[in-house]
Amino acid sequence: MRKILIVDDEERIRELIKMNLELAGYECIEAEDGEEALEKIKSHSLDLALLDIMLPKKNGYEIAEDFIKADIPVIFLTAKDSVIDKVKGLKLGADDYIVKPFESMELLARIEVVLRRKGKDIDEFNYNGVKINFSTRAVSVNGNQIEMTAQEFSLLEVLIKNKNLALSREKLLETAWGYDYYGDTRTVDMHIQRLRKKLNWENVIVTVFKYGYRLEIE
Amino acid sequence: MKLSLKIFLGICIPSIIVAMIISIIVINRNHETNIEAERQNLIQNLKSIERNLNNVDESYGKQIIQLMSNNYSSKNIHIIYYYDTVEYNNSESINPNMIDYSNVQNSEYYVEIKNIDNNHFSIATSKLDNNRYVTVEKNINEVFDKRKELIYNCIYIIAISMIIIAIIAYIISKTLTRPLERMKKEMTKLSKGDYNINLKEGHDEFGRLAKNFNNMSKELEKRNNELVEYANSKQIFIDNLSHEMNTPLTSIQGYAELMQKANLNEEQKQKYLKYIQDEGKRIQDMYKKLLLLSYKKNTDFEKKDIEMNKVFAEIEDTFKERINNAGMELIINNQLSTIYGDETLIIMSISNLIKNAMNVSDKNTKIMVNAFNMNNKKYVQVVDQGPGISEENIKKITEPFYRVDKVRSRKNGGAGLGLSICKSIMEMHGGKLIIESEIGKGSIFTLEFN
Repeated sequence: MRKILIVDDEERIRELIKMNLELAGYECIEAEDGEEALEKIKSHSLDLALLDIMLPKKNGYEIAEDFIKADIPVIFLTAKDSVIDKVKGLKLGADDYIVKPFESMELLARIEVVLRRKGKDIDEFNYNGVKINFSTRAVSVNGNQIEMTAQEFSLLEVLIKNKNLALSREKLLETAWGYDYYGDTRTVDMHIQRLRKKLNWENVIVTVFKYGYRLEIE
Repeated sequence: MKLSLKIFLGICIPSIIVAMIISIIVINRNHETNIEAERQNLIQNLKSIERNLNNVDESYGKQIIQLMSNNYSSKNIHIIYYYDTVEYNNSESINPNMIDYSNVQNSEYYVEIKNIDNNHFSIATSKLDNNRYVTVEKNINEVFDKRKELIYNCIYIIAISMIIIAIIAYIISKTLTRPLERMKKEMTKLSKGDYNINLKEGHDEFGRLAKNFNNMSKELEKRNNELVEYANSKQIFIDNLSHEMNTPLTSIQGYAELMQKANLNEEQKQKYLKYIQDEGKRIQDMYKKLLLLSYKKNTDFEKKDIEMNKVFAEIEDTFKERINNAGMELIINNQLSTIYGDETLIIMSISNLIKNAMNVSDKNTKIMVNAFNMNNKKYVQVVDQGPGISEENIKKITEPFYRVDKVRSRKNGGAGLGLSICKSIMEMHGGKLIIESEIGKGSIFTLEFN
């Protein structure tokens, strides 16, 4: 599992990020100040660090360099939303800069992008006999290859990347079909039905009442 | 026109006019004197001729004149003798027709100055008796030449002195306007925002102006710095505020989103709902405090004599149990009967100080509240045995949102506004908040009422 360090002085925000990341299948480690964060570089093999900027003891800018030296990608996650701060953060060598408050889906997507850029993304997904290879786009159930349209595959990809989080029909349309698609949300329902049938995921893709769908995976 | 040019011309033009007027007057006087001398001279000569003529008979007149004329010719004086007609004339320049004998009266010397073909002549005529006249004539070009020469000399002298005056005037005008030029330069600097101005001060008008100017630039710099500082503190305040508001907002939005999207069990749901509620309260609390901070500027509040026994009873009520539960001891020692002020605000500021003391104190320590009179002033002191505050932090501690120990303060629900509110409340009461502290021993927060 990929390990992410969350550095924030607010316990509740750490908990919130942790909850979101764990649902998406990441392992999380927390630190509440700059010095504690630096210790975690040595004690854990980290895949990514989410850093707040205003931290006690040592601030986010100060510790970012150590992470980058250790070849751990850094994403700033902070309330400081001025352009100057963003530029400063990115110039330090951070891979991304996210402003609080954030949406969980956006956070996950940005983490995913950074990990992929660093070659740390997961190419394969396995769950109860369902095997998906994202680079070859091959899907198999219990060893049997399944034919899938491009649209079905991109919907499946969005669901997996945001697993355990409900996605509204509109959001699914927007992310799996693209902004320029003028479709009915019933298109989403139809594709979900087909995915359920093809993968035997009648109980895995759960309908969230009056909202959308959620891929539930332990 | 530039002032230096004005000064320059102001010196040069009047000097040249005065010099010219004086020269003209002097030259003319001199010329008149010379002409008068020539006249008198001519009259003297005419008189002596007259005397000689009077001594002899009329019939010898012409011979006498002829005899004398040689003598007078050497003096450059020529004689015209008229007896019914021109009897003798050795003047080469004067035509006797030009002489108007009818103007000549008895026993009078009629003198004219005539310009004939650019030659000046002084002509004096006297009447001896009826129809007998003697006229003497002298060329006085010399006098006029003298005048001309004088004029040339004067022009020459004026020209030279004008050059000297011009040089002096130039130096004066530059010297006078140099401080102005420097001032202009400095003024330009000032307008570009450079307040580092040091003009030479002195006792003359410019020196005093320079002094005022220096003072002005210093004052301007001070004001400007104050403004910059004020703007900075405002900016810091807004930055902090947005950060402080952002944290609970992130929690509220994040947990609400999580509840909507994730499959949570009942226990988790309850926990996150509580978080949302707490954070909402935190925002409300901060909002109230901020309102109080801005409140002082535009509202007058109700001041009256507050019974301090009642105030401390209320405070004891609120805090005694909490402090005891935290393993600390609250000791209240009140020697004041009343304080003049707003009850709610004063209770709030004392409570803020006690809350701060609780937040920094460890178990088995004492929190003391002393209220007393000293030198006609009233004091309320909150003394803790916490870790103390460094000097650097004491300066910043009353700034809104400033926290010495951020993590600990947040855990206790603080927004970092308590002391700035205390300070504001004391300012509203015309008092002061005094902070003393020693690292490792504890801190004393004193409210001073005048």
